[in-house]
Amino acid sequence: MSTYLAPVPQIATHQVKREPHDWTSWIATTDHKRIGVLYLVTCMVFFLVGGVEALLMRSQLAVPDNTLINAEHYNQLVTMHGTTMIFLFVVPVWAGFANYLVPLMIGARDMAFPRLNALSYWLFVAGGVVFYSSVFWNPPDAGWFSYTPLSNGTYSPTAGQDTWIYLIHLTGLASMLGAINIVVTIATMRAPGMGWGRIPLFCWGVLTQAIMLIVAIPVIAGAVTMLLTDRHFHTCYFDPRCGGSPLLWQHLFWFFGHPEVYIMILPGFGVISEVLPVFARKPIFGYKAIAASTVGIAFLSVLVWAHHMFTAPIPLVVLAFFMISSMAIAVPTGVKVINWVATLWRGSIIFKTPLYFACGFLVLFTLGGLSGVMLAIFPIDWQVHGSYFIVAHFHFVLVAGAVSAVMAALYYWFPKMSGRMLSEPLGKLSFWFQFVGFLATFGIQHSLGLSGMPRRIYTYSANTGWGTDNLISTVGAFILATGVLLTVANVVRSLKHGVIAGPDPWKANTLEWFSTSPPPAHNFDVIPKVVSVEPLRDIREQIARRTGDRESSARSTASRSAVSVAAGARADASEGAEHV
Amino acid sequence: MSEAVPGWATWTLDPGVIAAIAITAAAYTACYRRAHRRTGRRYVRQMLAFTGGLTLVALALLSPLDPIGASWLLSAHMLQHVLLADIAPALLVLGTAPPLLAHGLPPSLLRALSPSACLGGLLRHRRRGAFVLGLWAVTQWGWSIPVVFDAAAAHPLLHAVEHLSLLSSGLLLWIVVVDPLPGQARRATWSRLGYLGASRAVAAVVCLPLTWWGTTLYSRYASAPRAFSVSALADQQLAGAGMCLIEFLVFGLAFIVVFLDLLGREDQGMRLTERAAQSLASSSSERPINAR
Repeated sequence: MSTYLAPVPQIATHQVKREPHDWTSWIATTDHKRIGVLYLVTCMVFFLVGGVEALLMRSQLAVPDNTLINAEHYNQLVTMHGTTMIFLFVVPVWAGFANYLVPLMIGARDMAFPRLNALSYWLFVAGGVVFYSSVFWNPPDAGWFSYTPLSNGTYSPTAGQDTWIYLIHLTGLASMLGAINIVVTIATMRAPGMGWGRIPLFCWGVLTQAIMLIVAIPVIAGAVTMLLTDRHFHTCYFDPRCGGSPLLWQHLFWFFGHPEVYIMILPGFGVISEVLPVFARKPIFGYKAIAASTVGIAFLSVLVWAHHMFTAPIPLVVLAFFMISSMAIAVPTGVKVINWVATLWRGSIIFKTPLYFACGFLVLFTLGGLSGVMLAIFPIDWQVHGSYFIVAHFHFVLVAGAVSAVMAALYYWFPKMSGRMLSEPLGKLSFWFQFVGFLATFGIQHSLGLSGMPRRIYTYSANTGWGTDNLISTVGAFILATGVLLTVANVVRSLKHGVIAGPDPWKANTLEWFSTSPPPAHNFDVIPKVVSVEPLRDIREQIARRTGDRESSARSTASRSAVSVAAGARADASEGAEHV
Repeated sequence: MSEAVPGWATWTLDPGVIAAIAITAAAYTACYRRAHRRTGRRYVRQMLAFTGGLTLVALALLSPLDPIGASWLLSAHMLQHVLLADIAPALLVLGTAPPLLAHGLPPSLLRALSPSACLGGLLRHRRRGAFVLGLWAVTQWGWSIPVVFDAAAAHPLLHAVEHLSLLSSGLLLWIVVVDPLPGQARRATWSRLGYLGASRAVAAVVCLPLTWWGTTLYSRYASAPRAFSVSALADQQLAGAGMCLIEFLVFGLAFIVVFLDLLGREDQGMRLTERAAQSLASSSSERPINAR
């Protein structure tokens, strides 16, 4: 007698909700990629606002005795511009790239704490909104470092200064939470086989930056809280009239402030270390040396804060200490530069826009580093402190360093994020505008500084002889702005009309290119086993071995079917692959 | 204290110190020769490091730095401490970096250093780092207390005990950081970086106050005759800033060396594991099905 058994479903699904795609889904998202995009878009908005502020200042300084902007508004613009660029653009823009890329690069499905990640972003937005709400009454005007006593209740009585303090609190908390998330994600969620010696160099940069944030943020958070209580609760931390010390503010601020410089730069170093080998078509030269120099720079960066205070009353031997430790930073930085040049050396270089920006970074950042070594020598610093030489130096480091790296990252990873390529001619045009504009704006400011022009002045008389240099600098600033606007136009245009990119348009080496462009919500259908620092190259070689055809394997990696082919190839070597 | 500051030609030929250095050098030479005989390799880096370490010990204890530090300048005394507690031990331990000890030590000593033996087990104890760090902190902070420091500078026996304890705690600390024991070559223990960082934090507690303090802390040196026209306060600040600079630069270098070593060890370990997994997979696929 035979019995017929009807098949019974093992898993019954009811009322499966469709994935939401409307604007509310962006507000409530915990997907690391969407949060990354939110960060990037918000940062770009703040970047444009900060840029407009810079253009207003440059317009005021274009000619002697100009009356376009009065002294009060100029001070406010200086403060808003510096604060915006540092706290609302450069630091969070790396959080945006890190959010989007780190899980993809290490073969993870999301960040370790997705909700904490969303909270970080919204705290950052809240900081920006609180800060910019001050434009409706009195914006802060004590400079981006808010030295006391200028920033205390006597000299800055308006609430604008308080919005600056709240900005630091909110964005600091956002950075802190983001940093913890990054550290935990990289430490615990790497793909099988991805040891510490195999994580991408961008991840090393971001990881080191995150650790520095965890070290530095509490110091500034404490300092601004002390300033807040000085302003409103009659404490006397920084007020010399009742036993406080204005110098204490400088120590606390710069103990945070100098690591902050490297917080802004280290992920940029990581970007350059990713871009150069891809477009030089050879492995990065000295992977371990670059990783080690990243952590070396991070360590030295907390030992050099007082070089911002060389003109303060500090004992001579202490100045000597900070001079030597500041100069020592040039060593690991030099190691990086030499390794990058060695990566390009005899490579089969493909001149694409990301490489243009990476090379621009190399040239301009090295120049900024050289003037940094000059300024580390305190007798030289005594001569040019508070002059436009300093303005030129830190813009060479931060604009050329951070912004060039941001541009390189944008042109390199935009295809992954959007699924479309940015226009190459427009990108190259944007690069040349930015490069020439930057040199014209800030190169000439070295000369202005050596001629004695102090920073933060809102006007100058014609008989100083600074008029021509300032005009060149202002024209340069508008050329630079045109370059940036060309990139914005390129992005807007390419979102709809760009060439379809495919999963791996650059034939790159890291895991994010293993996924589709843009990647699905879960990032990977199969998480590959990593056996070297260039996992995608290994997969390509495996495919080539299986099919015996290197060209077709390269093409197949650049198509969606690559995932299944690669998974098949990988199955031979890896039993530890994690399947969805 | 009215005599002149000792010149650079004035060396103290202390027989105890010279004998200790000579015995250590002889023991190391024997170890080095045995390793060279067994492997045919020249361990140049290790030899240079060890020689450098012994030279620094000699410089700290036999050169004019010792009398100048004892009677004239706090900065010279602190420099002597940095050499003895930090740089010389680091170099001495680097001089025994893998695989020198594994090939150079006699079997009886290797047995004593094995994980199952008492000494070996103690050196690999999971809490050894915390213990060594505590010892380092006690010696660093204890000998820097002004009364203790002045007393040590005044009494030769106490001074010798001070130097011996600084050297010993330094050696133990750097053994934890460098991890030179035989059999450890492929173990990537990342806490080594943590101990290195914590040791600098301990040192900072001594050097930062000396650098920034506005008054003199050590009465012996405040009332000492002035050498090289350096005021007592400037001498103290020089002592602090010098200590900070040297110890932090040592940290920076050591951090990079240990970091690279850890990356290398981890990579080597992973490659061996992957190779073993591959050979296991290939051998199991070669076996007949019924043998599985």
